[in-house]
Amino acid sequence: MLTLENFGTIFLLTSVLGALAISSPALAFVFPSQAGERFSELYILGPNRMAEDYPFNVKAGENYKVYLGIGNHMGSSAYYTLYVKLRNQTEPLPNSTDGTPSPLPPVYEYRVLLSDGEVWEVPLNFSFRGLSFHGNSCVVETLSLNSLDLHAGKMVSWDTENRGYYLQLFFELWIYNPETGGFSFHNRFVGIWLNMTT
Amino acid sequence: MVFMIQHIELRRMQVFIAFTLVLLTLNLFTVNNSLAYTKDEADTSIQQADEAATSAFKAVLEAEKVGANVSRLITKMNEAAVLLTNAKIMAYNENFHDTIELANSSIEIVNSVKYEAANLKFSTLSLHDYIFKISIIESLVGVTAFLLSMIFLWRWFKSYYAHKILGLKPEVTENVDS
Repeated sequence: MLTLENFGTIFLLTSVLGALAISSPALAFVFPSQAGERFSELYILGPNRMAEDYPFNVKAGENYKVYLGIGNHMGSSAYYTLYVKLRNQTEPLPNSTDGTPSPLPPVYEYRVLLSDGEVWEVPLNFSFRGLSFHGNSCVVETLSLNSLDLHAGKMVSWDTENRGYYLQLFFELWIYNPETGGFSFHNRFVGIWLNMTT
Repeated sequence: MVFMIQHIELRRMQVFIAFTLVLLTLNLFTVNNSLAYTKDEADTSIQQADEAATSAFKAVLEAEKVGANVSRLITKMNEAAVLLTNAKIMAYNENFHDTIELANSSIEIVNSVKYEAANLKFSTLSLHDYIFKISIIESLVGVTAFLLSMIFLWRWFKSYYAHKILGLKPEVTENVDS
């Protein structure tokens, strides 16, 4: 059988818990809830909005399509810049280890603002023009992105191991940092390899 | 009489031709102005649009930080971002007139967003302040009432318990071995 002291302890605990429950709306103001892990997604999908059937063997003048997506899970709204870059096999990619972007100049850019939890996805249509093959190299003159002709000016050497002229179309995600007042590389990038064919 | 009518007709023609010439001259000046934009001016307008966008974004973030719903502002900012991207495309194509027009439209939108964000922040802060005060008063009154009722309940329970214990009679047992 419970003694009077036991009942006293139960009353005391009930009082404390009840007082906390009643004052919880005010306590929520003083101790705001902690956010979870903060990150951004960057992805690229094939023409059917699936992670398959990515363009690979490309010909001059033919149109290809991929989908680009960004997801914001940073705990607040974010302002992104997505740079579209083009490289051959010898040119540098971004460095994930030290978080530095590729020094190559962007050929195109998207500016996107997303609320927390929001996802942005757009189609990217592209084609190449002015492909010329000389010996063991291929020169790509023009990259057309969403019907905008851009100067590519890339020379691609024949890859003897993989038997092709490979160019990589890749996308770097940058984010606006209000503290520094500028965009910085967000250490996210995706890309697709394209084999230039006749 | 016929001479008079002819004179009036001639006068009307003269006025019409003069008016047309004035309009043509004005139009020519306008076209000249639009074609006269330089690459530097276009670049400057893009830079200004960029700076205005980041400044507006800061204001949106501040409003969001105090708990305001900024989804509508984000939508407007994205409209401005599309205009800015298009302005850059126009600059790439050396269409500086359209570059400046698009950049200015972008600036107009982000400036309105900045203004709205500041208002939204202020109204949200006022609302939060009010809700916070109400919550504090509610908690103080609620906790006091709850604790008082627990004290009364405890006192009643103690006396009930004491009565119950005191009211117990010792049981008489028989045939107990001593």
